[in-house]
Amino acid sequence: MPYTAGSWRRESLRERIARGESVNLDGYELAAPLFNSCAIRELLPNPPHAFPGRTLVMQISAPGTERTRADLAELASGYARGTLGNCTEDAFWKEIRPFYGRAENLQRETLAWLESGHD
Amino acid sequence: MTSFEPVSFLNSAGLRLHGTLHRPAVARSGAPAVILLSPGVKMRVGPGRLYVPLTRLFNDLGFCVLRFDFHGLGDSEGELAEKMLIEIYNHVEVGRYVDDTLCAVRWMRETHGFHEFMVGGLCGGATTAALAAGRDAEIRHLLCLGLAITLSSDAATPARYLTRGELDSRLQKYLRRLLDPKSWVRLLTFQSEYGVIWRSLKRLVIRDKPVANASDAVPTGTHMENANPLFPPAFFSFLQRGGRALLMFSEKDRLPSEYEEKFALPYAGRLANFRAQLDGKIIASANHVLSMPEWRQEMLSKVREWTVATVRD
Repeated sequence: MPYTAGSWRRESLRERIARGESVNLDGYELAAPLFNSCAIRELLPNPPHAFPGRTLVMQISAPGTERTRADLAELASGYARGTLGNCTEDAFWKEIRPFYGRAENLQRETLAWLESGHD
Repeated sequence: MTSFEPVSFLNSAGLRLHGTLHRPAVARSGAPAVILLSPGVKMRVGPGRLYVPLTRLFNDLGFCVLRFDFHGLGDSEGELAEKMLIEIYNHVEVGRYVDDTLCAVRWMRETHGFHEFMVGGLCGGATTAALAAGRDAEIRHLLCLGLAITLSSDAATPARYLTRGELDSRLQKYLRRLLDPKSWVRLLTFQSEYGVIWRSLKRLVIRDKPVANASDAVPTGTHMENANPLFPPAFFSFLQRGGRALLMFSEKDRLPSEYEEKFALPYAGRLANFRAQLDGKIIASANHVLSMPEWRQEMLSKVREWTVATVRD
């Protein structure tokens, strides 16, 4: 059964992968070797501030829902040099009615953060 | 051992198109080159990497495969000016990427010496392949997965252009939702597709069936209004040259009923002359992009069987 919103919870997908099964994410088969090689099991650094480098946590907000998310603010504050950004974009990572040639706001904000980091 | 290399070539507008050329370990003598065309706004890998196993299959059979990005998409040059996805779909359906495809054919001919081609893809890729096949006599084989033969204005006025099969499917869905409070909320808060509901319910009373057209006349009528007028002439031109096509559809897709009702039945008389050149299959339970491995395997098995039977030394 392909994953669709609500059909499987994140945890149940992880359990299936842990059991040695693969899960199908909209046509992409994901199994343990790939998952374990790239998954970050815990986003919050442990111990807090353990990572000394600059870190950008970018909140991508749908138009009209730009209020800062508390969980993302907490995540950013868990890094020694963490910054929480917030940009407005439609859900460009999937096919939506508008054509998204590129996510201009996300690109601009991310580039600005990168360029501001020259010591 | 198979090999692949990044390649690029120019289209007629001077835009550089980027892709990959996949060579078999042992090339089959005289085999056509395979060119896989991207659907919609997807890249050359296809949705869910669909074109990767297809490429491996063709390499395994000794065929060389080219996959590339159309202009304005993926790694290729160009910009698309459209604001809405449906506008892009419309442009694809009326042949925006036919020129890119013919340039790919010409590049393979001039650079790698091929003189016979199999062109295909999923959905809009299949449509582009069919339109290109009407214009280049060296395209002798068409591989169409989920061929779209309508124009996307369908989405703007869904009730008007739905096929009988789609309406019957919607009707069953609406009947199942009669006891679902959420459905009633949608209905009473003006969120439902009233035109679709009305036309579906009419099917309870009026059970008309499509009628085959035995003549050569171009079929007309409301149900044909969003049929792509460019597809039949291109497809018949290809068939008259002796071209062979494999048409595969997914059962849970609207496309097989559209093909049946808006092309196969209206043009049944003309199609009868080319029956030996056509093969087809509907993959049970499959969705549009063949998400599940078993659906893909079924597709690959059929492609292998058809290719081996059709492309002879």
